[in-house]
Amino acid sequence: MYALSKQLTDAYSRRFARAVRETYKEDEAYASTPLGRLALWAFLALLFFLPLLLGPYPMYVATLVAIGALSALGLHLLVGGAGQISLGHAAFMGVGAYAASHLYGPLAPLGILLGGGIAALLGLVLGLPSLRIKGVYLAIATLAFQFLADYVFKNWEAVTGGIRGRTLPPAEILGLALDTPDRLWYLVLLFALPLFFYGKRLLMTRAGRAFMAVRDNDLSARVAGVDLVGVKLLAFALSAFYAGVAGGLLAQLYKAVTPEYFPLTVSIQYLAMVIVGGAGTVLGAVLGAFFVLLIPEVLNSFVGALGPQYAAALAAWRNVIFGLLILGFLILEPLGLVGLWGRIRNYFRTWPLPY
Amino acid sequence: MSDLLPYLIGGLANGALYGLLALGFVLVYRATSVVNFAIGEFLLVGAYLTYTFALFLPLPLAMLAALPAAFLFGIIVERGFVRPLLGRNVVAVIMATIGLASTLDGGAQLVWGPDLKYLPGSLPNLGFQTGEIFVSSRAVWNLLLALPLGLGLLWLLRRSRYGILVRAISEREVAALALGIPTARILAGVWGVSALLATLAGALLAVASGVGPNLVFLGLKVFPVAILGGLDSVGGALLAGFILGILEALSQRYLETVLPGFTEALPFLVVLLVLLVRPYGLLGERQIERV
Repeated sequence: MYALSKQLTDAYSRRFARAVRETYKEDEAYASTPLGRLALWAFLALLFFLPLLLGPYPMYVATLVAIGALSALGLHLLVGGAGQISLGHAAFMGVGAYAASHLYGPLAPLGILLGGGIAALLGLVLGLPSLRIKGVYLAIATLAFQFLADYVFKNWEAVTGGIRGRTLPPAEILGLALDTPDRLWYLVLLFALPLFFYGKRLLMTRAGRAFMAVRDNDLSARVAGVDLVGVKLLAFALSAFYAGVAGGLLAQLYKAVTPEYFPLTVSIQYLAMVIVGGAGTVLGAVLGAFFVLLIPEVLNSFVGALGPQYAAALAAWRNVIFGLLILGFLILEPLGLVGLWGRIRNYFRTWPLPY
Repeated sequence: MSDLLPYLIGGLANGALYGLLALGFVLVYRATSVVNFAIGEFLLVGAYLTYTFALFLPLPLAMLAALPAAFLFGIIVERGFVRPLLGRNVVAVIMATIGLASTLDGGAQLVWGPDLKYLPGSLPNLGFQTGEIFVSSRAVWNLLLALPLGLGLLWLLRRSRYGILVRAISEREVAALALGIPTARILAGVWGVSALLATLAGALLAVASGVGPNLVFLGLKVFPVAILGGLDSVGGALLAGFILGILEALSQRYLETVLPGFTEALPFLVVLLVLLVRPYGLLGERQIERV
């Protein structure tokens, strides 16, 4: 019986589990088993052909989730990577969105990049004083930034259009207007895929390892020769860049930018994504975004079924659910959905005979 | 000058509440090094508790009854959400307070509804007029309750047995445990006191202008106050509360005509400026760790 169990387990491991990595090339690969590579290519193909499979509304939600996952990945590099907390992620998205709203039409991709750049610069300016001090000052500084940005969004009429916000015409590529979600999807992919692969690779490089060293123990990281301020600043600016790009894409999806898209609750929503997804992996950011962004949609359909008199309670319920998700995952499953998935996989790896 | 004085009195009245709230916040930070992002919700829940008691009791009694309830609430929060994360990264605990903030925010709205509620009854009117200046009852009550309480707590922290125990724990928790100090009980008590102070501030706000979900934003001013006073300085929190109150009053008087709405943003500008120039705040520990 033991022999059978071992045989099954070994067969399973060879096929599905990560093999032992013997060379640097294997270590750097995005997928380490043949099946994993196949899954990766199949997933990319699925992403590419998704607009053919889904209707307009699911496509809209899918685009929203992709943008959210991109932004969550940025926050994730900061929180899960370098171990710093940001409560201003929505504000950085707002900065990107407003910057992108000034370069529209054929210039839209440039505007989105520019939005990311400006957000990253602001991140550097904000991070410089607060990251030089040990402790939680960054969290408080980003909270302050969130409110200051909100004030600027509402009052700098010339650039942000005040409370009414700005509307923008659809992006154009080679004369083709990207006015529907299934066309905009490709613009999102154009930005999201490279940034995802970069984020995945980054955590394996020297810079990414330095992030984790700072997260796990800043003193020993410093002893090992890591420049703490530099690493934290880099992580923070990078996270702001991802947020800015995502914000620019969001502006294209909504075709408008108003201050109410970027309040503190959205920042907390992104923190929830990172915690729910969990555990320093890119997969975590995607799972978290998927999970957290689908909750409002599900709640919306509930309200649709129950009647409009419950709509007022919807926002309250959303806050409660996000909060409970954060608390529950922190206390019960600190590794998030990724950790949960890992446990399920390990359970089935030795399934009939776990001992 | 005479048209400025009413603003200043209002500023001091607000500042007393900020100081009270920040006192509890800084106390928790010093004892457990947890930044409690749910402090605004403590204020909100406290105000709603007072409102609920005030439906059955006369207002002064309701405010008194809310205090032990708030103390209990603080202990429950500590037991339920802070204790299970003990020993984990401080970041995890701070995240938990963010999650708690979101939960309480939504929960309070579900229980008490989204509309502004006014307390039945009011406190005895203590407003008076000296010469041209009218001092409102609200200002008198705020100062009358906040100042002695704040100073009394400072004195307790410095002189009383429990104050010394709290300071011992914040100095070094392991050593305190080794000396047989009942650390768990005292930390729970610190959270309780923090919730109690927030509730008192919330009750005073509720008496003056009603209870609604927007109270949370007043609670968020605790961060500018705590940073300005020094994140680890209890006395600094009280002082910085008054300073921020006066700053806001000045901005209300002079800047609001030029930059409408700026008073809302001012406290957070203060945060960034203090972090840039004097990160240890007015009275904080000067040997702040830089990296």
